[in-house]
Amino acid sequence: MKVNFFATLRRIAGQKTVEFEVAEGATAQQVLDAILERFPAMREELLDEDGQLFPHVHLFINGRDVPYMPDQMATIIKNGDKIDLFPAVAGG
Amino acid sequence: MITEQIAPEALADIQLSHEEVQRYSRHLIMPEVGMTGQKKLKAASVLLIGAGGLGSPLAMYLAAAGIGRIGLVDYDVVDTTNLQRQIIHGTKDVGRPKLDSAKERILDINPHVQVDTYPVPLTSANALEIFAPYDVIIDGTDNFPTRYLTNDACVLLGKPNVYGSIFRFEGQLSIFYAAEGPCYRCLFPEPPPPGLVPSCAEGGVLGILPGTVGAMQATEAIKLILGIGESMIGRLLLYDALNMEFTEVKLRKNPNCPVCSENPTLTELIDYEQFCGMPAHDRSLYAAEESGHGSVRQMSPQELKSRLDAGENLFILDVRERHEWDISNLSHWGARLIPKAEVTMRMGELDTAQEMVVQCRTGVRSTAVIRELQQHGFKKLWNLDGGINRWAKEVEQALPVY
Repeated sequence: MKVNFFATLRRIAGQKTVEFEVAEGATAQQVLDAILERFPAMREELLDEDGQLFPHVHLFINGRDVPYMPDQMATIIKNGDKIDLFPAVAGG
Repeated sequence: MITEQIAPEALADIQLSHEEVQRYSRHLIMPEVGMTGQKKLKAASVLLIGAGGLGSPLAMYLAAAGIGRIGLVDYDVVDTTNLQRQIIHGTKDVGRPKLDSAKERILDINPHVQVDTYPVPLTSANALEIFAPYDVIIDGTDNFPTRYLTNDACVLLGKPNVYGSIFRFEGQLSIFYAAEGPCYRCLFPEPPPPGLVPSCAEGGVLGILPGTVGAMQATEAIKLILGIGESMIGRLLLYDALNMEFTEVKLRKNPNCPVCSENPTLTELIDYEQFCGMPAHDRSLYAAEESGHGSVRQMSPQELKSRLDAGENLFILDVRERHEWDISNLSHWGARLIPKAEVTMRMGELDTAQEMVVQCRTGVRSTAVIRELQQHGFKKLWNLDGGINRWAKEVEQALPVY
């Protein structure tokens, strides 16, 4: 499964697209955990004090925003799914 | 849709001169624009928030396209570091108000445009009044407080907000129009914590990037006015110049949005600097004030120089990136480089007993590092006020300012 990192996250990942191996039936939360395990420095960019994704960070699965999917972070990720993870940026 | 706001009878009063017909010929021969469309453009009014990286191509293309009235909000003056991307301003304009050079360039491109300038900071006190006469608002600002202010004012006034923002090699594009789709707050209910997402001045930006994103914003504004094509309402484009990739995601209206939902909790403009915890300006300019908060001690370049000259045992820690070190550094004063992202892991290389001056480009990153080090028991810390750039300006002019 491919994860695309944008903006500040891309700098930490060192590249835009990173391949992750996840077990069958893994959830979006488990993918996020795997990302944080691979890139510990991403924690302060992604998670607030309660361990929730910051409101300015979005995780999209196949172009759909996770908070609006029925199972949210419990959504099952399938092989071939595309995940985009990006923060708000404000430059102009 | 915005074109409904431009009533057909309003177009009846719009005439194109022979010179204008010739000027817009390549538009007029396309049926999607034609005489009616060109009159719509002439009848339309567009307000640009910011006359910088995004504002430059926006103003120039919208003027060339024949938008009848263009408003510009910006109180900044042209700086040499702007010229790498803010193509509406020239070398001769350095030191001039941006709106003076922008207006001059717009009228050179198209003297038929009415240019209104607002050389003031956009605030909660003036935003509604400034926005009111315009059909379309375009957000080309460079900071979070002004983006939230622009969004909320657009929602309250029922105007479309053509949004673009940039970071290093990437851009984001959408139209936030609460009447037909989500607003900026639906996507980003809260800003990032202060200091987490760098500005262009801190993170750098590929000069041509705002050209691409600004041109796409101008395209969307013109489509809205003409009422053609598929607009970016409810869609977010993530543009990646480095890979030359365009990723599109679908945006949803947040049913609990504090400003654009059916039962909004926010019905008037608020204090956006307080909401975002940061000033509504390029943060590098405010490094000194920002780092003045809390318990970070400041050392001026002059003081550091005299203490070094006196032979005091001061260790200089440079927390910039390697490629910045290559531009300028204080290695001749014993400075060592540990980039900010590596400080936590390499803390063992530092001595808590050693008096240390932490330094970056302008003093923002070094402040963050000092706060981090303080949490790990380091106490003998100073921030080099204004960073190596201020040092280069005031103490060691042989070093470049970047």
